[in-house]
Amino acid sequence: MKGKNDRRAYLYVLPAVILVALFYYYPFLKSFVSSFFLQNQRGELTSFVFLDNYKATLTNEYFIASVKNTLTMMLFFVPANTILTLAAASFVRREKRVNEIIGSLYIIPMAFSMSLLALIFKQIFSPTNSIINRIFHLDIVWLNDRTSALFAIIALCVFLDFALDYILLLSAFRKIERNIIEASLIDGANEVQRYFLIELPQILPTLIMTIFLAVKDILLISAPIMLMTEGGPYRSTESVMFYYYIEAFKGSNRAAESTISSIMVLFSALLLALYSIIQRRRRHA
Amino acid sequence: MRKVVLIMLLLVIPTLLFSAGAKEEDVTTVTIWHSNSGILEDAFMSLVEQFNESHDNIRINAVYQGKANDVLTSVNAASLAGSGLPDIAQLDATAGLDMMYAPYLVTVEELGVDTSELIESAYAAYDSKRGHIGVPFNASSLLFYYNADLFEEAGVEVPKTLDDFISSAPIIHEKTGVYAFSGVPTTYELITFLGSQNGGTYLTDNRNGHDGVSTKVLFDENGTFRNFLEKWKALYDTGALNNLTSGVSNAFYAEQCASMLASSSNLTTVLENTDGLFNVGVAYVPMVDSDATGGVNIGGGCLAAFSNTEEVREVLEFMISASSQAYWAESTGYMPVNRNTVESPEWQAFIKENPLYSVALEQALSSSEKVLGLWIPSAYQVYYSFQSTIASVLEGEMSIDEAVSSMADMINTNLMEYARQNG
Amino acid sequence: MLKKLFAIALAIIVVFPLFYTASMSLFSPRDFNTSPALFFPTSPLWQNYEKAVNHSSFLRYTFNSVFTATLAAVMRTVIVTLSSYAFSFLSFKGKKAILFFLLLSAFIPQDSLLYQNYVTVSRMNLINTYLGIIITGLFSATQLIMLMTAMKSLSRDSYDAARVDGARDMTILCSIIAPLTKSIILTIMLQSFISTFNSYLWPLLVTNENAMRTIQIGVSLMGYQESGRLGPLFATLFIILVPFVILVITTRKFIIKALADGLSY
Repeated sequence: MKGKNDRRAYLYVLPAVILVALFYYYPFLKSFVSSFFLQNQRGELTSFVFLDNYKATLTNEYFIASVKNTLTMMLFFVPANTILTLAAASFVRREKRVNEIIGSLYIIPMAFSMSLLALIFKQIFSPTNSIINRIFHLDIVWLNDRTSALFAIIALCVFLDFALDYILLLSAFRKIERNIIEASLIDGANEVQRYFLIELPQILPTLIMTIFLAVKDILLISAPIMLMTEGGPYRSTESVMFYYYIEAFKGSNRAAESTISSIMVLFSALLLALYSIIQRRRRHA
Repeated sequence: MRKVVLIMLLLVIPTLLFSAGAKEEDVTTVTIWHSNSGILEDAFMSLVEQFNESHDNIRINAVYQGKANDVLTSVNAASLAGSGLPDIAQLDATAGLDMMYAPYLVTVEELGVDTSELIESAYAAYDSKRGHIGVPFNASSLLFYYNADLFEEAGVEVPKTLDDFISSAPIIHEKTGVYAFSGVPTTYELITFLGSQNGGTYLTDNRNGHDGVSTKVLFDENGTFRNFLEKWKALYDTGALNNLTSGVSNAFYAEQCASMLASSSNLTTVLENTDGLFNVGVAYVPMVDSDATGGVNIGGGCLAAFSNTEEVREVLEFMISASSQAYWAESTGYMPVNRNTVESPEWQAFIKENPLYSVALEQALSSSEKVLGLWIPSAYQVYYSFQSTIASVLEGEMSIDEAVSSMADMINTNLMEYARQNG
Repeated sequence: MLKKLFAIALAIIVVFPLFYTASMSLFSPRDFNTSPALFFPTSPLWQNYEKAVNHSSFLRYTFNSVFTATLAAVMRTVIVTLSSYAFSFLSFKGKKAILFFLLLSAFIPQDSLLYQNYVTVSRMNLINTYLGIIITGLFSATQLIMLMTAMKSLSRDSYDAARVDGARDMTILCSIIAPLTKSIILTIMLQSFISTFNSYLWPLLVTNENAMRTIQIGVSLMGYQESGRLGPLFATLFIILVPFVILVITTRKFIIKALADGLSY
């Protein structure tokens, strides 16, 4: 078999190669190259300006604010998402009838698509008469200051990622081999010890994966912001990708478009590389 | 191997089948991208229907694309594609700069639309150095909406200037327990608040960008922004002003505030939502001080043409005709842009019956031509930046001087960046 | 006990938006403006449903969403399966380089290439087409890794035997390989379906005709919001939600299994 050339293989991989070339490498290279040039209305490169576009973008106060906002959201969303989904999966990890019923409620968020949920959340967090205020006896004018608006966006994101992460973690729990748990029972480990010392380490790879997915989701967040706050109030909830969207499509700002594209691709690539290293280390450890 | 090709084909075929609708012959379709939702959409669609019924050879295909600025986003996106532009788009002032330089735009003059019946100031709002970028269709002006019951309860007059409001707002707040006013001004309000000062001033040079891209802002050196901020801060310091940035109308309906500034186009919507709850009044926008006599700008939107055809001209002329404008204005609160509408006995009878509907037009007609929509790059972003800067001043995070220079710097930077990128 | 309470509290939070949508779908305009907010309508306004059904093209939106998501799922699965088969069982020149080329794409997030991809797709004249909505998402490097790992873990014996018998690739793939990796293939389909169904910005950009809009775009552009006609909006949302909630709950075992199977690789 070795050494022979199955030429039909090229046909099988061709669609994938074309798609990847056309919708991953080409746009990236085009953005990257354009980021060093000025462009005219038709998108043709006119003159080489080296780092001027980067200078213009990176010094823009709203871009800087959008980076800060994205990091803030990450700081709160990732732990909130991890704790809640882990808690949900932990609650119902044993296969019991009552757990099945509660567990089936936990995947309901999967039926909501993003924009439907955003519209509903917008009303739940209404600045005039929020049902949240009624339930918890609060007096917050939602979405009218940065903190409450960020909270609402993060709540929406948690809800959006909830079902998938819950399913992944639940499956990881249920895949733990029975004899590992039984062995610990013989050792006399109590419920809490068993959970933290035996089960949690077993699902760690999955947990790291859901954390990584959460980081990635929030890094690239834009649509939920568009629908919930439009970046407001006072442009205080703009994320990097939302900023990219309005500059590229509303502002026809080619310099911002090409530089942010390039920066974000490089940044996500670094992040993904980091993730692969972590997971590989674990596997070899 | 053949099977692979076959599978691929099977997958591609359905996508092609569903993609394009068949076109009827002999009927020219004129596509309009519009921004009318709710009550406005109902009224707009019945205009479209009227047109389609009375024209055998032309059919209007109206597509809602979101808010006015979203229509611009779709237009810009389609222009990148090089095809797929609509024949007509309903755009507002945020599109001014893009349209002035858009190679695909057909000016009103090039299209040869009969504009003789148009109210001059409404038409002048879309005047650029290359001609008129569109015909006014949904013309509106800023209005001061107030809860007449609450004003009566407090025993105060409707404010004519911000000075008046500074003295009456705390009374309203005290006597009724609700905020006297809700909202944070954006570009839309500031064109009036700044532009009306000293009998009418421009915010940026080149006639607010209508005579070519502005090179710098004027509101810093001429003191108008400072003057406004001082008054607005004084108003805020009374404690009767609520900095609400979204859901302002809902707060008004829920009687959480006694007044708000909003476009006249909201009039029917406001009346419908407050029906039976309380009496709504509308008045001229309070001016910054008694020297500010410039009035308001004519805002709202225009219909811009991207195809130079007889049919497009016919559609535009229909939309600005006396009868269409009468129907449109009466159902929404937009002001008629056709002189003959205003002079018609039907309109006179209508406003006698519904006096609130005449305020916007009277206000606009008594305004200076210098109070003009602002055509600058990144208009959408600037809109929110004004809000954030004003809020920072009110909350004491920024001094008035810092706010003036920060806002001027931001717009100047945008102008420079636009010049850098576009030569 | 405390744990149970938490579990139930979490369940209530998770279900709350669904309940509240149902309730708001019967609100009158005044109910929406009542402060403090209401849990239930003062008197159910069934007209909202009438308006929802009459006004909107939500059936069309739903069809578009389901159709594009199904189409994308099938096409992506075929494309990923074919290339995975080639990399797992065939040998050809440049195999490693091509694989590297494909897998490296996992490091490029398409979300940040929205603008350039829009320009490409619009120049291909795919604006307002179903193909345009799905074309950028028809390949996934992570799914290729998943399926390749599964295929490579299969024993080569049955493949070699079939080869000796002179079976064609398609026969081998369909009758031997695919059945053995069925669970992963289903995972890929489901993942692709969900991601296409939920995408928002991309379909917003590439469609500007009402008839081509997906649910995601359609409902956010229904224009009820700005004009304070919220009742019909939530009635529409509820009509769309109910079948999906039922679908998700009844097929949850399948969904959980399919999504979890992807985990092992």
